[in-house]
Amino acid sequence: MKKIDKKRLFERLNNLIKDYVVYAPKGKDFGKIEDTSEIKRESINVRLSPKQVFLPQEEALFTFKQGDIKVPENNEKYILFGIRPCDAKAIALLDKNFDTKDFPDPYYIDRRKNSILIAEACIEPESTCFCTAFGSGPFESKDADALIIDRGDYYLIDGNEKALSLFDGLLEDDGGEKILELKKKAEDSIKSPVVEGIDKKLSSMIDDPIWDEVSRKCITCGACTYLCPTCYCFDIQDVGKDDKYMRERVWDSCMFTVYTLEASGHNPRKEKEKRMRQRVMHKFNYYPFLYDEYGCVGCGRCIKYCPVNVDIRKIITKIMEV
Amino acid sequence: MDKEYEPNIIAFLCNWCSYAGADLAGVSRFQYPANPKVVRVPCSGRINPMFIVKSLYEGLDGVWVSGCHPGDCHYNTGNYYARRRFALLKNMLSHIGFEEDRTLFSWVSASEGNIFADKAKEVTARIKKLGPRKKLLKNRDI
Amino acid sequence: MADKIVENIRKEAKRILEEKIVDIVIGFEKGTLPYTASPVFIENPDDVDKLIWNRYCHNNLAVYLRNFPDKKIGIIVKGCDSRSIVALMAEKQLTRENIYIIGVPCEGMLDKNKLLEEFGDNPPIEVKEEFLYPSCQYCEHKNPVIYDFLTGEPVQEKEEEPYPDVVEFEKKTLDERWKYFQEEASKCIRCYACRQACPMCYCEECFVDTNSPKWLDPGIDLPDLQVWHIIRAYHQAGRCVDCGACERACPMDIKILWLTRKLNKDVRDLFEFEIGIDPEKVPPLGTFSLYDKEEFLI
Repeated sequence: MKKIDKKRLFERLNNLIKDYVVYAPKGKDFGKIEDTSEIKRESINVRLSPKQVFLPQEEALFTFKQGDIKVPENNEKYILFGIRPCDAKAIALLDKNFDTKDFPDPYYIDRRKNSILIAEACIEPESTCFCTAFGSGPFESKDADALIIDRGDYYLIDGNEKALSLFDGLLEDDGGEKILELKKKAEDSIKSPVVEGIDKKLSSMIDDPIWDEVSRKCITCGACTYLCPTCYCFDIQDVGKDDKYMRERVWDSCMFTVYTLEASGHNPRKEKEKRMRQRVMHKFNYYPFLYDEYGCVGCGRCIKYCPVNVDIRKIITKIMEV
Repeated sequence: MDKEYEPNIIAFLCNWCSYAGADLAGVSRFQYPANPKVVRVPCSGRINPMFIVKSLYEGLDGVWVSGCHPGDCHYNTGNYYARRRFALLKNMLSHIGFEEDRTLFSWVSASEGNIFADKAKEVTARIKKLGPRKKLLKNRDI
Repeated sequence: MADKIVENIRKEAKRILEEKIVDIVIGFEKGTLPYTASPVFIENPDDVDKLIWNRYCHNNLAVYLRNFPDKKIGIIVKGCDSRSIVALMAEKQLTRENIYIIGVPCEGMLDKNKLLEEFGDNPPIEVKEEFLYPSCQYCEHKNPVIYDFLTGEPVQEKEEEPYPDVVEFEKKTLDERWKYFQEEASKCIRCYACRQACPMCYCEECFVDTNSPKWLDPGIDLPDLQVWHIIRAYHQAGRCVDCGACERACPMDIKILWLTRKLNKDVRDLFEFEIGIDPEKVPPLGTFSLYDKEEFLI
């Protein structure tokens, strides 16, 4: 571990803005910054997750004008500064889905390949955090390029060559500072539900009455899925007018009725319990089946921003009790 | 040389009064500007306020809606319902900061060819005065 | 006071469930976060002790009424929720006989975000009125307008001008108002929580979801967001009971009440109609008067 002075780190980051597109917490949300003075945290984690950098809510796949087709190119380099370890893990999960051997997604990969993730450890996790349930934790460094730990005037930093080289000449010896206690305190403050074996268990629960029970109060808005750092469903539509059109990719949510509405008028997931089941199944059954990891990182956004307090931890506990 | 700005206006005219009024204006050779592009609808009550918002969203400079005078509606009451809807819509558009004169409403009967021409002039002049529209325009370039 | 209400709610819920007056009771249980209550559905009379009442029960439960078409429902309502029920009845969406209304006089719900900011995770014992949700600050009907059972003494209603915020906002210039609208709309992520939280937004197919005609592009280009907000609000004209559920549901904290409140004010001023008071009265856009004002015509 190395030590880096906060002021000097921000100065360096300011210089890097010339070459990189830098995203950082800006108050409540996560956004592009022009100057490090904009970096501000209003809560432990940001509301809109960093997935918006690599999978924007709306992006052009190509544009066409009278037979002339253009595919947008993206050669920007990104630095995501101060994301939380859970969100870094979420990006690693998105990688598994978009950077597959058979169907690599060029738009996602273009952005992702030139990006550096600098995660910041959570010294005081929130009451909605449950990242430890999924083998991650408030000090987890494996999914980010670097992990910084706030120590007042300076950060402790550890990471790979790519990330550390950004701060060449600023890194000092940490003087043997121990963070174990800090880490333990943070981890202990998180109350996570037990999830072991939930993927296998869910396989036999397609027709379980539990879905009706847990979805009753859900009003089927898309807040949970749009704020979720790992939800990646999208819709593709053509928009434009006259002779200029573009094919665009926009976020979509499995919680919406129209998500599965077929052209015939048939809707296999008309009832909200089926949609809720889809969301839970996708995270805790389909994802482990495909990629050997849970599709949830325990960031707690869906709990915190749900208008009717649908709590995924409660749903997990109920499933485990069945 | 700058060409004079000519607003693009959509005019929803009811079939029985205002559209016939426009017809009369034409037959009587009354001059009026060519800016309002007419869409004939069965009744002013047929005009979903979403048509108006959609017209603005699609980039038109102004919307003009015209129907029968109160009491003249071919379907007896269509224009009364329309009157309530338009009053609320117009107030709301102005509340959100949208220029009031971009959405205009009038009553013109089938016998009022001259009035139709006058209203068309007034509508065009009012919208022209506001200049090209800047609000609610799609800003992505393709 | 609050304890008495909770006790009354539980007793009455137990009674109507046991006597089979209703099949299900919709109320609130303790939420999983600080300052939160969460909707709960009780079918077993033994579960009534889950029901609570406090100043965080902000959801408008009337939104669930249409989810149980063949059941008799008991519902716990505040003043605004009861008006939603009346408005739904006026639009023939509900049958009065199928609903048993337990009314609670409401002193306003407290804004979770404001409290979190001020007190963090340790709730104070007494809270001042400044922490009320904006929607509750101007509330005109704290007491339910329709009920079968009232859980407590009616509270004092406000007598002041109900739309000071709208009047104030109208004093701004056109461009200031537009700028405000742009700022608010630009935060939108189109999760449609506002629509889903609203008891009056019950269309089988929302205009944003149709693709023929396609009223609106998907995506988050600013005009798209603005048109969504304009039309969502306009569809509430003469129907919105001003409960504020839309604004409270918004995860992005967008101010949206100022749109519907303007419409409500206009409906009151132009058509002398107050929504959600009389289930027999036709909603203002479903009727007309020969003498409606028409100064806006050219």
